[in-house]
Amino acid sequence: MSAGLKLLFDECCSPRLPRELRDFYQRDYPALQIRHLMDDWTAGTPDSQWLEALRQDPSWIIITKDAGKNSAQEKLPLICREWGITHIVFTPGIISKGFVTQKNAVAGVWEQLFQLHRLPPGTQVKLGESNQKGDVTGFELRVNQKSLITVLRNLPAND
Amino acid sequence: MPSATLSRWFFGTNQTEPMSRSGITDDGAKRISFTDFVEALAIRSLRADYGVPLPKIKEAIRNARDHYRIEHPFARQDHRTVLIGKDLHIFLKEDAENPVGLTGPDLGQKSMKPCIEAYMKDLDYDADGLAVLYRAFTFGDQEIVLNPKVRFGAPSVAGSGYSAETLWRAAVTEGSIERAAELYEVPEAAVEAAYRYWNQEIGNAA
Repeated sequence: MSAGLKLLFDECCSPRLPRELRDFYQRDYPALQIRHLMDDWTAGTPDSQWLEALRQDPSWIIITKDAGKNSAQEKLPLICREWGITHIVFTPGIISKGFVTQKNAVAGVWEQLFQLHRLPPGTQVKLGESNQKGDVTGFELRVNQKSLITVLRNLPAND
Repeated sequence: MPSATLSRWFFGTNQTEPMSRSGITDDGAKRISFTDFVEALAIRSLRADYGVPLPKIKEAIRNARDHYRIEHPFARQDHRTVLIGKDLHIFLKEDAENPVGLTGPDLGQKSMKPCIEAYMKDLDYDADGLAVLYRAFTFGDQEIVLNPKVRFGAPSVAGSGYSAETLWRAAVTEGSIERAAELYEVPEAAVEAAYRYWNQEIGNAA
């Protein structure tokens, strides 16, 4: 599984984000697939349409800034949960700090991304800054306000 | 446009009947169609730009439906509704030259007075004459459009592939229009159009 990590960045993310991560990691992870939504889909395609395609291959993990709070649009996280598509949502703090922080955040939790397949399909994972003292900022993945590491530790042993 | 206003127009209140009965409530939430939205734009224009009172607009919609069997009179190209003096008139499909009155004393009578159709200039229509695209904002050669087939009608920067909100947020978080344009690989004018449009919308909502 780890060799086949598949990440799809939602349209709200800069297309440079997946491209620069791919350029950085591809040689070390030859099976890695990182795409931007608009690499494969026409602009403005409803979420339910492209998510339906991803549903056929649940090994894809979506990375988005869309927390589903815009009542005027489809709720991407809601659809992902219902259809069993694991997805990462940047926290507002990460979003507000812009592109470089978002790229650093993904790189900062890189190794943990390879463990996400152990979570129940459709899990929402938040990517935000970790609560560290001092001036050093770290990044962490959280599930229901618990760190991913804690959640994985509590999963049944056969996982 | 405030959602409370749309709700009042399309779903009514405890005291008032809805302007139109086309609001969608089947899943428990209040929703309106793109056609309703286009009609709301016309109603807003009639009220704000021409001072037409709401009861008169309701009367026009009712008369269009009851006398001419026309639903959504403000969203149609082939049944264009226009303002003449203080009263609303409609061009019937069978007579594109002479509008008939929907409100006021000349209801049902032909009128040859000049008319105004300002709120229709930003609409595109399909082959059946129903509005399918609304051009909400223009900046230089950039357009912010609402198309129900793209993102369920969320405002988009035409030709850029991105929603206006995405490019506006990028400009805000990255600190400049130039940087956002670089990151999203679109012309700076596209980001600036989104930025100006969204700021205007925020201003209107405040």
